[in-house]
Amino acid sequence: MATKKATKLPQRRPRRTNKNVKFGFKKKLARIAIKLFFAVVVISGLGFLYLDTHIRNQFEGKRWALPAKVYARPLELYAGLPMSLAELKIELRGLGYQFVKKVTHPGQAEFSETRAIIYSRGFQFPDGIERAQQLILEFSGSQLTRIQRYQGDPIALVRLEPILIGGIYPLNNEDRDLIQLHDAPHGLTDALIAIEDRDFYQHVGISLKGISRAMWVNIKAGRFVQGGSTLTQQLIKNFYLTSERSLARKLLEVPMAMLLELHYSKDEILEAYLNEVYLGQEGARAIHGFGLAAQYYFAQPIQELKLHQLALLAGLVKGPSYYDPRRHPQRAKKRRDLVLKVLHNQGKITDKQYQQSIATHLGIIKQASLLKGAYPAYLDLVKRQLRQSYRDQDLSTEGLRIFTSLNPIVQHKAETALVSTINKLENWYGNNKVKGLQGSMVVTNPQTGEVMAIIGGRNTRYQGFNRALDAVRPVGSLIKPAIYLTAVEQDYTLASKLDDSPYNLTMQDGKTWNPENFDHQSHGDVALHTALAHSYNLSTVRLGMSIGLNPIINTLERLGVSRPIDPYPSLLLGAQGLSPIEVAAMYQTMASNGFQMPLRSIRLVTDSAGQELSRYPFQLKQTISSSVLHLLQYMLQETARSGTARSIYQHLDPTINVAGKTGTSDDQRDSWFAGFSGNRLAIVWLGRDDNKPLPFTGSGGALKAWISYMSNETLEPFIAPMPEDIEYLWIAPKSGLVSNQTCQDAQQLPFITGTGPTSMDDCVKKNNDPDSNSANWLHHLFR
Amino acid sequence: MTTNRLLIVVIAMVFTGCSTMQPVHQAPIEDRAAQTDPVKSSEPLLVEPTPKGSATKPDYDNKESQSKSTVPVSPSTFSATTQNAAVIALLESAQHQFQQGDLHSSQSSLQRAQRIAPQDPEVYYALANTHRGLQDYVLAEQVALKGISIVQGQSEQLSRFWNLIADIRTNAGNISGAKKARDTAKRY
Repeated sequence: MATKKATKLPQRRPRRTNKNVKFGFKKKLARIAIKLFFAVVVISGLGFLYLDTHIRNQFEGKRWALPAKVYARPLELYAGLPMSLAELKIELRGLGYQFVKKVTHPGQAEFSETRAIIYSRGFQFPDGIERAQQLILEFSGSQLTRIQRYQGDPIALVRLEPILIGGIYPLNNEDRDLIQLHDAPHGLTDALIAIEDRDFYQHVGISLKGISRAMWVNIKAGRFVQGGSTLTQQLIKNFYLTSERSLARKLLEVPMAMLLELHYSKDEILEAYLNEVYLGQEGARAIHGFGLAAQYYFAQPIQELKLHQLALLAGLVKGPSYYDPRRHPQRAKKRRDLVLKVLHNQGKITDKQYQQSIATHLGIIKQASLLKGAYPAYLDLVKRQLRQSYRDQDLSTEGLRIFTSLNPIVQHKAETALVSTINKLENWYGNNKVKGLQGSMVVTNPQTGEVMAIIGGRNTRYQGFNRALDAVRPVGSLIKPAIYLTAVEQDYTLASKLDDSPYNLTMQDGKTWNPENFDHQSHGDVALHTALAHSYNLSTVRLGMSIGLNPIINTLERLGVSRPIDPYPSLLLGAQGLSPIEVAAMYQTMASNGFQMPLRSIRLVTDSAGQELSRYPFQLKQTISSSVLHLLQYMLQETARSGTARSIYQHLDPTINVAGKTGTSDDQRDSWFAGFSGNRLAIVWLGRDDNKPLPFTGSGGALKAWISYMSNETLEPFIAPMPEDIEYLWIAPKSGLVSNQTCQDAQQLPFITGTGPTSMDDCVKKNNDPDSNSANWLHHLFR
Repeated sequence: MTTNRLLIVVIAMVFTGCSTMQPVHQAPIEDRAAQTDPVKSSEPLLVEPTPKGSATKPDYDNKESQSKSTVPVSPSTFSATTQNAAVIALLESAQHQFQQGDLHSSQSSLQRAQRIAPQDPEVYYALANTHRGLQDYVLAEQVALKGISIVQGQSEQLSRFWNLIADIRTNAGNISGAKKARDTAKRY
């Protein structure tokens, strides 16, 4: 069928001459050309309109996704603040203050032996403005004793600006600190224009002069050394187009640059450029804009940078990676000096300025000293809490300001203590026994429930697995306070005798459970308070089984443990896994007299303009009577004084009263210590990610880190005011009966009024015997 | 008898010299019920600095009496010495903000004060009252109870806090609870 049609077709068509064919073709071509011309005009017009709308919309609308800024707590300065001069320096370094001989500008500090003069930068807090001012701070030992304005009056209270500790970035990982043109020093704009686009204020978006100049330079050099793009074109490229090097992109750049110039002033374009330009890379985080670059390279606000620093930043535009001053300092210096030379040649800087600037070293700070990004574990907690109320997109694009309770000084001390203890343990036990030893730590304020520091692992800047929040590990004896608390809520007292003899329990599956004491000994009858202080397992298991597992689980819940807990007997020796932050919540309730406080890392969230969006106020709920908790607090203090944690007072001043508990899980796989003073609660966990046994217990590992941290803190003693229905009685340790202070080894123990023993110990009877008066007399003499 | 006593003295001196006996603890209680006098200041943020070591905290122990191995007996009362000037300034700001009806700012000022002086009962009194103003009665009562845990042994303060709880309960519509709190206040 197809063959037939093919053969018929030529017969149907009339024969044409060559002339006719040519004429018809030309006519057709002309028609097509005209149509094409109109189509191109229409399409170009539409494209032009589209570009115009697109450019204006993006330029005038929201131009950048602004990451949320996360701040540490602002340092409150007042007379009486427990802080040394050295600690102030930690804070000021974090804020990027320059330590100088004579303070003249904001962001500077000078020091003598007992005095600091600082020029604060000021900050717009949600509850008011703290203005920039020069302050004189006087110290005595570890206390700030006086604070006054420079050549002015004493001041009661000043807040320093908070340290920016991190951000929550959009998917493209772009980070920037927006600046306005009037914030940018003249040195920066001069250097930028001089080196990148010297005709910026003359051209219309593209510069033929600039292109010719670049071509000439390139021809002379025989390779591509200079581009002819204006700042406007560069902005268009970064702002609207891809970084692909193609003719089409280049062709689009030209009309778009001209359109941008048509609608906006040079200053508006320059301001956008200052914030858009890419200036470096830190891992996945892209550093955009000069505001952030100033912080990233110099840890200073852009306004405080000197000429040579500004020249370096301007020079980086050409190739942030190639001229990276950290990796290629010589290249970077050469580039900086070129910028300075151009400025000098153009008469923008004097000979003296030029000579001084090129003689100055780069002054780049080490990346490790930057505090932004230095607290991944803390930021992790902040993000988790924020995600309960905010969408990811809002967090990473709306420029929210998040004020947290992170205390960089506490964090610094905790990190130093934990990392140095792990290193020492490795040296002590050898790498084989503690290979891959890890640790984590949580520090809170026991009075307010604010989280002050978190460490997620020994590599404190690692952004991965956060052990403080996610490592759910058996807590060992850290569970015991819940058992003893339940006991004293029932009929037990601190003087009650417990049986510490061997114990066997036949389980439902027929297996036998034979718990043992750590020293593999049984201790006979022991006083309840002694059993906890020395962390005896046998008496604890017997006690736990007699009071029942469910009441203990109930106590754990009231202490703040929200995780479901199975009522297995092994719970009594801490087989239950908890994360360090959960343990912190549990011990927080013990430290605060039975008031359960949700641990808080965020104080306030505002929008980018400082308008408050949400606050996280101090909250508490009394879940345990302060009287029974007082009894537990006594036992936890005894643990630190004479129990398993008694090594504390080989290092701490005995007037600094602390309380706490050691914990070691089955087979010594986890080493824990949880303890508190009046102003710090710290939880330390040490262990291995592969869950292999450790060569040390809670007191041989985690407690060492805890002591190392606490002994570097300015501590206030833990004080539990005596509740009304508590009385202290002298008790004879052996009999558990009423004694008096003249009897040897007598100990004062707290009791809920009326629950203490009433029978007298033999010692008291003897003392009442006239024949033994001489012994009493002697005892008093040598007390 | 005299010879016997002398002999005992000598023996005892020898033994005492190398004794490892746990010392009998002398309870370091200082029952200073003196209440904190609120310091008046006309300018909230311009007051004299506090002398060294005068931050609000109880006189609890002294080094001489504190042994390494014995648990100190808890004080039956907290005795605040001088209120910190910073806390006074913040309490005054908070009061002013409260009077202006700006309760959230008042709450912020009081939480700043709490971070500086977490054992200052005035902070908890004012904070409880602010939560009462915010009609958050459950939290207001809990904050007041926290204040009570601090002012143990101080009758006047205890009475004041229980009266505040009575007011909070009244506002919350808990009339019988308010009566109980009022009765408790009368006990002091």
